Amino acid sequence: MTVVRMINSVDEYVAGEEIDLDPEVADRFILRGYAEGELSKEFSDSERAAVEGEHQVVNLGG
Amino acid sequence: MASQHYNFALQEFWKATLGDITAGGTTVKCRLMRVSAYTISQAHQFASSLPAALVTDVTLGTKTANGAGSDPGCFDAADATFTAVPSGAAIDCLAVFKDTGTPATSPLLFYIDGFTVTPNGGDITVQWQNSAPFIAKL
Repeated sequence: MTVVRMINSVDEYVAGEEIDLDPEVADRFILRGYAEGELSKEFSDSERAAVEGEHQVVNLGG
Repeated sequence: MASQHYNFALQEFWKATLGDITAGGTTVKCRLMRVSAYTISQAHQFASSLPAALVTDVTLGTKTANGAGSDPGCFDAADATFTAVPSGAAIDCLAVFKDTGTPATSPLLFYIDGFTVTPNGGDITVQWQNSAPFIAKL
């Protein structure tokens, strides 16, 4: 397991909390900017692009 | 429709029956919805009036009642990310509610529209406004 601190609230994972995640999920959250923590391995640019995936953002203003 | 408070929430704020919405032990959730499936009504009081969740509701964290620190009355929280939202018609409104664990007793707080996003199967992050009223102001 990997300990991360949530930056965003993601589904049931609450922002501001430290949580244990499966390393694969933790890496995804860190690479997508949802959480801060240490990656389980080094990622190449193509691997990062693949993990970052299709992420849509709705900006409610300001 | 326009973004608005639920009147029953305002009533309960005045009566102080909702408790501290920003407290860590208080679960406040956000649900993505489609206006084609939900029309806000001030007769709605609880989350049981909302359509079924399209994807897991997000539990809001880092909640404040003063925006970024100097905006009293403004409810704010960290941005909300919904993972793997199924592809489909545009999503164009959301509701924020206090979750008691039972929809029929979970008070609706705010309704927000005026945005649209067509899910592509990936994650959707809702970035709240970074200035007043942030998510909502009383």
